[in-house]
Amino acid sequence: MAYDWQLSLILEYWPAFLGGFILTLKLTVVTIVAGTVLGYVLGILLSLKSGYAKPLKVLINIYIAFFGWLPLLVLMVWMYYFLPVLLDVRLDGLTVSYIALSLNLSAFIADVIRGAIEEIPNTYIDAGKAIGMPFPLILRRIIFPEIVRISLPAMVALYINQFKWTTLASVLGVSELLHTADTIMIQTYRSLEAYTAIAIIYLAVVGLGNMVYMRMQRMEFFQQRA
Amino acid sequence: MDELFRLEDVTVRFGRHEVLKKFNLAIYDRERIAICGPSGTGKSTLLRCLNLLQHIEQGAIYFRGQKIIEASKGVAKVLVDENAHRSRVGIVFQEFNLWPNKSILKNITEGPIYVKKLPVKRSTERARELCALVNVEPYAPTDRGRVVDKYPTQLSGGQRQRVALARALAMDPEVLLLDEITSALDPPLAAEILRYLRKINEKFHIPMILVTHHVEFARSLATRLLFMKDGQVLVDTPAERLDEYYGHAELKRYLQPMNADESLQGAL
Repeated sequence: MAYDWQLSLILEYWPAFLGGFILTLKLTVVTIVAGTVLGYVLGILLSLKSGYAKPLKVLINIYIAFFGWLPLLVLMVWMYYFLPVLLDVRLDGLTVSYIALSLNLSAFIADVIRGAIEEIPNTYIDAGKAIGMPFPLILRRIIFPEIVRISLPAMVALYINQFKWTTLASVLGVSELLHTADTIMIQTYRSLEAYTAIAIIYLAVVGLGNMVYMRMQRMEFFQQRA
Repeated sequence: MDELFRLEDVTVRFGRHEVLKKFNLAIYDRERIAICGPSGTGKSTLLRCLNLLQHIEQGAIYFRGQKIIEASKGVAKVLVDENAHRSRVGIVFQEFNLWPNKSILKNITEGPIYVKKLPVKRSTERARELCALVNVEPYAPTDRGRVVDKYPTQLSGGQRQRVALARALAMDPEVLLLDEITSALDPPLAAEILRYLRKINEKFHIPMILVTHHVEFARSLATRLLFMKDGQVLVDTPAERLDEYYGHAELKRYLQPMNADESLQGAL
């Protein structure tokens, strides 16, 4: 059976698609920033060698297990019903999506950062001390850029996935790109056009991200240590 | 000759193992000392103590007549600005320890710019000169004809160690501590490092204290030779009298030619 494509639909609804796309990008960027900051802090705390940090590290590991191991969809739906009870406030789907996506990403980033810090040999720090660098300077000029260098390719992969995970917010009624397509489909019954349009948008963005990712992996800066 | 370092009754322990035992040594300006001996005898620890990377548990260390650290019963007290002292006493390690996230030039200019607060332009110029001195090209042409900074991963082991030397020299140290800097290198590359050290010596007349197991360093660079064992100095001799001690069976075991190949010996 030949399908009668009505591509004019896309032109007709382009402001809706654009709005959905912008919200998707907003979800992606905001949760990436929040998740990265939180993940960095947790990852650094996890790398503390002091014995006092042990109980803290246990807590962080529980956090990572909880927010990292639960299927994201389960996490989001659960938080949607649980957070209002816990905080005693009404939360809309968008806010819950921001929180859940950020916390989930932070769990993965904490792990990546912990791994990156473990990979930095003490000898780099010695080399800094040896020329008289005070520790804060070593932290700022040597350790931190090295964490970024080691972790960035893995982070970019996580960031690309984060863009895809935002689709789950549609379940909570957030009118991001997928939800926009749902709405258009309900209004026009043109499911194939609506979903094809957003599929192409997702492919384009992820393709772009992958190009950046592959380029980065080839860069000398990100190759293995000296 | 002025005194550069003096160690008085220095003891360093790692756990229950005493690496240095009531160690006494005076090192003078313009000396180039080769230290050899079995591993675990405190040679590297000695160098790290001089740079204050390692704190002592007993005794005192003087630098140019000034007490820099004293310790008793395991409690050390540093009497100078530790970072200022380290910037005056250069050290190069066995592993090259270059920072992989920085270009060759940045590896060299990091100390001058951020520790000595020298202007970026002057530091970079100096770094280029030092690269020329150790014969490492800090730039690489790309396929598209552009010229970009080289990173440590693009260098061979010998080149990396030479950059590490340049990085230490960029701080204009008053003394250079070299901790088995050729141990991770093949004999030809080690011989090359020796050649550059001699060049550096001719140019800067900087005192050096080098831990090595290559006899060539003792013969053609050092002015004085120490043989250490179990945290003590067993042999302390001017380098030109090395041959008198070279019969010392143990010393000979820990101070060997880089290569049995005699043709290489001729090249040195």
